[in-house]
Amino acid sequence: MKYEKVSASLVSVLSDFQERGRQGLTRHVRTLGIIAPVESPKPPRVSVFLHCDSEAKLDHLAKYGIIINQGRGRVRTAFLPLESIEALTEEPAVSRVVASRYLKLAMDVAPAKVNLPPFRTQLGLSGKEVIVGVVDTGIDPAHPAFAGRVQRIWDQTLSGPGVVEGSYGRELMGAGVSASQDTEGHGTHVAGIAAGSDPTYNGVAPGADLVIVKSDLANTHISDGVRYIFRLAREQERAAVVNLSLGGQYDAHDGTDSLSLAINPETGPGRIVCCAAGNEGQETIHAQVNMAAGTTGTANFTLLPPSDPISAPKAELNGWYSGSDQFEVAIQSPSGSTTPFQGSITTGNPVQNYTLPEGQIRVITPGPDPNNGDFNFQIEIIPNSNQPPVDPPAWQVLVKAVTVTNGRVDIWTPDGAAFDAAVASDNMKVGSPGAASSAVTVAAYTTKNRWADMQGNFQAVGLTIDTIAGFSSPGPLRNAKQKPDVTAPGAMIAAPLSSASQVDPKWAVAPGFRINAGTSMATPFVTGMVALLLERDATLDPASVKKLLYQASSIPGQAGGAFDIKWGFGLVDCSRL
Amino acid sequence: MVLVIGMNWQKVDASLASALADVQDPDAAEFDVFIHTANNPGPTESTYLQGLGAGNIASGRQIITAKLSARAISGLSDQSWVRSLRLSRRLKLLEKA
Repeated sequence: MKYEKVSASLVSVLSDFQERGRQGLTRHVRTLGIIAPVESPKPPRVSVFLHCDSEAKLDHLAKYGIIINQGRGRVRTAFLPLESIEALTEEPAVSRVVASRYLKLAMDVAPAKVNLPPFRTQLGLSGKEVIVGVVDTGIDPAHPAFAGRVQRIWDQTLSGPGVVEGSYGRELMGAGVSASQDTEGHGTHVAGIAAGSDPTYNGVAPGADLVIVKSDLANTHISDGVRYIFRLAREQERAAVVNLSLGGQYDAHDGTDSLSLAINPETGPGRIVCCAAGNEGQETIHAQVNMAAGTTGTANFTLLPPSDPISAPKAELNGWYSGSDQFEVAIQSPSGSTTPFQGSITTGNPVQNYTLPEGQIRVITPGPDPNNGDFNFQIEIIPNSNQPPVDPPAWQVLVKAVTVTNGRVDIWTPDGAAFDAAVASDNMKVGSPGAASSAVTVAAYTTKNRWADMQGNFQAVGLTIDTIAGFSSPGPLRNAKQKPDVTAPGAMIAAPLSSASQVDPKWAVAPGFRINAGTSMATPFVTGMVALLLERDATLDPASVKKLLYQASSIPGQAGGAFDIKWGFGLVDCSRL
Repeated sequence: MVLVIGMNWQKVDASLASALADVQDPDAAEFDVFIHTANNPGPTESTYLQGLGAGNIASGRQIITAKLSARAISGLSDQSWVRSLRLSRRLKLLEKA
């Protein structure tokens, strides 16, 4: 017996069985997958997870009475006599044997928290005949949760002739969908929340058909993907809802960015887009500086290491102020060196480059934005690798108010920097495409913060249960319009795991399923709800969908109809839809 | 850096202006952009856009996506029917785990 391959709980079972026979198993039967009837002549048997080489052939273990339920995969399930565990551990391709645990049926408690099951059952809704579109990292088309329902995939990352909406990527359908893989796993999880079908981890609209766009996440390609999904829906005369569990902070935060403006005219009766609010609720990515004419405001920030180790450090600031104001901006480095103040450059190239001791600075100050009339400035910082140490390593944005009508500048750090907490503003963090006026923009609620992973270990995250998730980004928009719209379960949510993706074992909750959190997860919850609503009435447009959702939502402890910058109009209760 | 002659910088957003400042080959189609038009493109405008490789124009949309060279962007910026040009940005997945 190779005990190092056996989980602690299973070692305990074996020990008790060796010492006390069947009686020794009694205390384990309630919690572990053990069948050991006292009167039966059959040997005690156990249900286990086994971790092995993904392509390992294990059929020969049948001679030990070992039944392995899957022919391939890194994690499989098996049913075997207790006495055969030794044979299993001696198999070189098997690295771990873990006892199955009985979990509560409410493993994924999110649907019940918003009264989804009775809503679906009483009205007989499943999303049938509705298209759920997902623009994301792709899908695992072979996952049983999507069997027979992945209608088409536009894989924008494959070489090919493209589609009407863009002459790049390859369109796949029928058996050909297997040519596309979701190596990230995000898209598979998202699609599973919206429309997966599984006895335990059922999605919200398990009868809907799926059209998938595997994107490189460039917002032009996301826009093309939305148009592609709605074109297919039009051609089939079916209603469709598109899920966008992605976002950025590069935009004006008022819904006038290109992606938001491109989405709006695509929506209409039977055409709905749901967007994530963002996960920056606890990050200091926004600063607001208010100034009188002739004064100079400042906002301190620090540079962050690159999110991936191969990228060179680079920070970017994205500032916006009213078209009726005249401001000039500069950057001060930690040693106190400052670039010249630079105002809007209304003729010629708006790009100016500067060298400071700590790095290269680029300041871009174009004329008024044609879409909203406001001024934007962008500042890029490429720090020197041999920066002299300065403590604290604080950089500053300096904003000089030349003429003032409004007097306010909002600055975001989309990449590589964070504002000091003292100057950060905990609002206006919903960026594109969540800022799109027609989109249903979704905040995240915590329904679960502890779970048992597949190895039987209990895991936990620092989220407070039954309230808004701290990470969920607050609105409103920069122009004071209300966002997000509503809140839905977004932590921790169990849904399909792409077989082509890698996952830390602590997030895996069952073969083929993982747990995850984010407004990425809350959004497909609402996407699925919208699919159910469209099944009931395929003519609903964004305004009527929002009206239904608002009426069914409330912030705990407050009357319905109240708006909050974190909650929007509150947690959706399906019993009121 | 290669200077692109004739660019109407008033139609170019900050991100695209910054990217154009680093261009090495003005004829390399390396910029994914949004093209905002002042009105629905007519036949002349559609022909011009299709000549640049922009797809899905016939549906009368005023926001069109394309992958363009710096020289093509310069030419577009000079067209009276082009309202603005914006660089495509890569968005993030919004998962926390």
